[in-house]
This record gives sequence, C-alpha cells and structure tokens, in this order.
Amino acid sequence: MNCPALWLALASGFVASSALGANFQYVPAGAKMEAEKECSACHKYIPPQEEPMQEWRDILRNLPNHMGEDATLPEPLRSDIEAYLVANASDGPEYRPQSK
Amino acid sequence: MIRLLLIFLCLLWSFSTAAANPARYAILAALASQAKQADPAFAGFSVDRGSKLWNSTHTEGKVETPSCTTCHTKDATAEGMTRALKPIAPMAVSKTPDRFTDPEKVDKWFTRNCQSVLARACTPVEKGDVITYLSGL
Repeated sequence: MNCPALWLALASGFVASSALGANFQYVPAGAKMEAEKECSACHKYIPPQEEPMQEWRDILRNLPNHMGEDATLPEPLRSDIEAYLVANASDGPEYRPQSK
Repeated sequence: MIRLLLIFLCLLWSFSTAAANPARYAILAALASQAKQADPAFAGFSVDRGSKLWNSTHTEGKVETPSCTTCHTKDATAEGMTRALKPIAPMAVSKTPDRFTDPEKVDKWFTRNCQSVLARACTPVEKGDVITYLSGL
C-alpha cells in the first residue's frame, strides 16, 4: 500500500484500540447469551452494566465461593462470560447506556 | 473375557428401568464404567444408597447447604427453590422427564452441588446412585 493516508488510518486505529488499554478484552461471540443463561440459573440475572469491572472479576474468579455456594463453571465458558461482563461493566470499555 | 462382558451387560441391564431414555442410559453407563474401573467389585447402582445420600444432612459442606433437600426440598416431585428464591424444576424424572439426559448439565451440577453440600466431589457410584434414585420417583 502506497497511500500514506491509509497507513495513518491503520496506525491511529491501532493506537486507539491500545488506548483502551489493559481493559480491552475480546468478547467471544455468544458470550452474552451464555452469561444470561448461566447467571440466571439460581438468581435474577444482573446485567453487566450494574457492576464495575473489578466486581465482575472478583465474582468470576471466585465462583466456588459464590454467595455461599459453589457456582463453578467449566472453561472456556467461565472466561467467555468474564470477558463479556467485564467489557460491558459500568466502567468497562464496551459500556453502552441501556435504553428502556 | 466373555464373563466380564456378561457381567458388564448385566450391570447395564440392571438399571434399565432408570435408563428408559437413551441419553440417560448413556450417562449411567459411563458412570458405571468409571465405577467399575475404580472398584472391580462394583455391582450396580443402588436406590437405597442414592436415597440416603440425597436425603441426609451433612456438616462437611457449606453451612448454607447442609443437604440436597435444602434447595430441592424433601419432596423430589415438587418444585425446589434456590436460596435466591428461583424455582427449580422437580428432580423426579416422572415430573421432569429430561432430567439427567444432558451430560454437561449433569457434570456441572454435580460438580457444584457436591462441593457445596459435601465439600468434595461425588464419586461415580454416588452420582449413579442419586440418578437411579431420582429416576424412580
């Protein structure tokens, strides 16, 4: 590619996505549906934007001790769900205000 | 070799009533095979053992879940309730015919709930006993 504008666009895209920093996580396809299914089995589903990223990480990394019970999930289901919840947390990079 | 095969076939047939559904049969057969590997003297799953394990109160596990009946209630044909008040479909196969037909679901819930109630994994024998017991209710 000889067009400098194209290179500039690619570079700024790269910088922009890096600017999201350590918080940017690839959310696998279907992770939203998995979260809604798995996280409503025992209690009312809590949408990701209702908690901050660190809360989701704390919960998803401590499932054997979840609200007094073992809520273990197999991998990669557990990490898929964590990626989705963290990305869409109240302070997450993918957060979008929910319209009612 | 033939004798082992015959014994294994008898084991499989012995839980045929519990296993009228082919998917459930496959799950029970896999558990029976694991049980046999762990103990060659394994002679089949037991409704009595399953009932005892399911209905008794344990102190080893989490304080919130001393028994399977804590959430599933003492009547397996009734709806249970999670500690967050969500309904759980009855565990009795007569009421919920697709119980114990999805191997991933069975694995997931035994993994979690045995840890909660017993503070350990359930053995293949225990899982088979419980499935056999609940299949007859």
